[in-house]
Amino acid sequence: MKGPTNKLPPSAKEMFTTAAVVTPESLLLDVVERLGRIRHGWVAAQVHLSQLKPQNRQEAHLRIAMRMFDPLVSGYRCQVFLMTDSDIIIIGRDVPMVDLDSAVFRLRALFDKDPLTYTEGEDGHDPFATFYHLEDDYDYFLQEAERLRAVVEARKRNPNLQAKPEPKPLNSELLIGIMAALNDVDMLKYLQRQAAIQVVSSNHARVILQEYFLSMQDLRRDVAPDVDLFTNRWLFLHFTQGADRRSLVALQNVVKVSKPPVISLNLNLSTLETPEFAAFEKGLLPGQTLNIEVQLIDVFADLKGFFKTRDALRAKGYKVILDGMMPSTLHFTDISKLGMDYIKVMWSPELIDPHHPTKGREPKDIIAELGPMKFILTRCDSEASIRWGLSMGILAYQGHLIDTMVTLTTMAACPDQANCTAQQCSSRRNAAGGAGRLGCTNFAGLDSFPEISLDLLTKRISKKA
Amino acid sequence: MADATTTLASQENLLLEYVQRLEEHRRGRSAVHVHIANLHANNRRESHMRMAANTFESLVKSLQGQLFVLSNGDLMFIFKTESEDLVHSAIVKLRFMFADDPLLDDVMESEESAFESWYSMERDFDKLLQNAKTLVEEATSRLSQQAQRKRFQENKPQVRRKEPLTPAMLRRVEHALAQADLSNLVRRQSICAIVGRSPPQPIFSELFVSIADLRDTIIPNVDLTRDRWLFQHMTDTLDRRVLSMLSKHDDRTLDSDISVNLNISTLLTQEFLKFDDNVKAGVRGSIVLELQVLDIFADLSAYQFARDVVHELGYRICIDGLSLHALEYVERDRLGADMLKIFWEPAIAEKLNDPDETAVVQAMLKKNGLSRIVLGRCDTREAIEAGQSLGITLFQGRFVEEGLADDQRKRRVGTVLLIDKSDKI
Repeated sequence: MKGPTNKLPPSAKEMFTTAAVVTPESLLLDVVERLGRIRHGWVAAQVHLSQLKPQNRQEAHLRIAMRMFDPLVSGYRCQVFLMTDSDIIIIGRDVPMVDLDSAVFRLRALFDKDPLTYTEGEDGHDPFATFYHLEDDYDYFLQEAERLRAVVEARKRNPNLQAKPEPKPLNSELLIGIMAALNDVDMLKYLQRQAAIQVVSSNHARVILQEYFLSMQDLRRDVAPDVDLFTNRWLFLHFTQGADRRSLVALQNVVKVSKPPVISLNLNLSTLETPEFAAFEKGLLPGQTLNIEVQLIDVFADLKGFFKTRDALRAKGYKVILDGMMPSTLHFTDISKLGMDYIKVMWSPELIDPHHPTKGREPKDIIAELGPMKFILTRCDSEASIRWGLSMGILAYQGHLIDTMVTLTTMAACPDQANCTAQQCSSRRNAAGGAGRLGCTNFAGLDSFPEISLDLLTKRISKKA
Repeated sequence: MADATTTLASQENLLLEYVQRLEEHRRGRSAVHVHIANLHANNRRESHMRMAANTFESLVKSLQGQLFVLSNGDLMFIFKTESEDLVHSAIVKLRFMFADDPLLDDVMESEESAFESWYSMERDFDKLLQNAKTLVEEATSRLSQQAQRKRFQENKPQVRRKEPLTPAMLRRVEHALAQADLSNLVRRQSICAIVGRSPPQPIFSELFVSIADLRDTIIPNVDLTRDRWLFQHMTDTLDRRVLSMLSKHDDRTLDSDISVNLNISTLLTQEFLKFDDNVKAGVRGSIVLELQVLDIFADLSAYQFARDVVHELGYRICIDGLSLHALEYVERDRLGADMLKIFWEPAIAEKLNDPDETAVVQAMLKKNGLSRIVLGRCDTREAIEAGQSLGITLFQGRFVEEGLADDQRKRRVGTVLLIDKSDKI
């Protein structure tokens, strides 16, 4: 009814597999070339969705983006092309610029959380969209169409650049096999650990917890190599319930050997009622305690149940951590009412972008209100992340940068340090147990909760730089 | 099932036997009876009962006492008086665990507690013995009642006995859903404005698939909702089927003001866009999309995107299925939604007995905008009246449907009478 934009054109990947010659790029170039002689009144816009963050340009997003141009298709008979790289190109004649502009504006609003929509281009260009009046800009536009096609053609010719077969989306049928496969793998292989530290003085920090988690990517490679395990949220959650139970069994010995005093586990709340969790708890050594990390979805799936569980965990002396928050999602609910011991907030570099829409305002206020001591900034992979955290008053951190700090400290204190590289030490530290730790001659050091000198890190970083 | 109840019942017998055996050894022994059965139903789930029993585990292990888990959920712990302090701290733990239960509203220090009763074997042996005997009688009569009920209700499906959904069953359900004729499973229920005692004025009607009917049609022995995530996945499939049904051109449903309950991921599917194609531009504003709070908090960024998309297309968003308790954590404004739907529960009426609590509830409702709140599941007049006293004007539920049907009947009667009259003239 509303013309060609209702369906996504075949993706380039599909076209390669069917060895078709037609690509959206070749179609576009065809149209542009034909316009060469009749440029008058023609306009075009290129929306650079290819530059969005990958999580923001999934098929569903692109489908909606194409939809935003429907009024232009039905009203002005515009043509809309979805390029292989996810850019969208709209071409039309006698389209009032204000209409084209407002369609692009509406699209921009939908993606307003993505840096693409609020960062400025280096040369003053808008990185989100480029507009062309073909009467004046025809040559540029032709060049762009040619460039787009050349890229796709080159990719087609180069076997290394050809897309790998798409993983199959997870469905109930595949899930049956995957759940069975889960029972046959050695979970120890996929279990990793990561410490979180807390700054205790101007140049010292200490490890406050050791989080044990599954490397889902590695596990997926073995139990579901050709399946996209993650995009079907509900089936993935069902999968994690099984994975939780199997992990707990494998972890039981791990924590007995490495003896971390504070074990942090990211679990489904339903897992806390399984015999596997009961057995894990029973196996804890005197003095060992747990942090249970929960996701907001689990809290809201059963609020009453959550509060009951939270209190029961607290009564045992455990701490409850809200995991997986982003600074931009902190304001959706009054987290203070959830009564968490800690809240984990994910760092991402756009937080320090001067144009970031929520910068400085809401997250800072919320963090201050709840008390910065309650927060742990995760995914810290740069000094900038720590700087941002400190500016919020946050003192607890987790992430690759912290791993490096802990490794450097471990090595500095290790009598056998000459035998290993920092990378070896780091990957052994990160392995929860099993073969991943082999090669280390000082397990006590590997499992230690060292006091960390912040100077050490700053020196290393500046040396590297 | 029968085996399980027999075993449970025998705990009472074991208790009685144990108490009788202690007759000669009363010295230095005490007992505590924890009245779990008197807690609110929400606090008596299996996991709570297990946690409660586990509280005594270390004491049992260290041979400090003997625990009896009675068939009504109560706990009876008979212990050596020397470990009284440990038992007291176990009770404190339990009290903490159930702190929000009305049963625990009593002052903790008081001798008489509704939550637990203490016995000194030396002093209260007879009382305890009598209590144990009563417990055996009660358990026996409960068992026979259960057996009777079972006989009478043999054909009534028992939720507990149903199997939970598994991935294999889910696959079967999905196959069945693809073929099932959903049109006779789709129900319609009106959301009405009710002011005072005046008849309900329909505002829009919710279209939904009755999950109970769906289950009975396609997979009667399975509890579809027990595995929450697999159920959610099933609703993804269901959504797409409902949308394609609504999108059929011969269906005039879309011309009226409706609400549909959908998952957030559905809002970005081809099926939704096709549905949108079939909705007349002017009607969109009167179509309400009902979203689950669980789905919203599953991925707030995804919600934000989908919300902006459907707002851009002109739809309204209602956050569905909130309990009054959940309302403390869900604010319409923060989530950028247009409406909220709270489910009626007797606890709301209970709160209204207390002026302080009423004020808290009222403030919460006001903050969200009274005119933007629907009180759902109103099956009784009490629900409507309670809602009205809080300032709510939009209602949904069986009682509302009855009122609507009644009103329509009256109108028809009115029309007939009028014609009769004119005939006479």
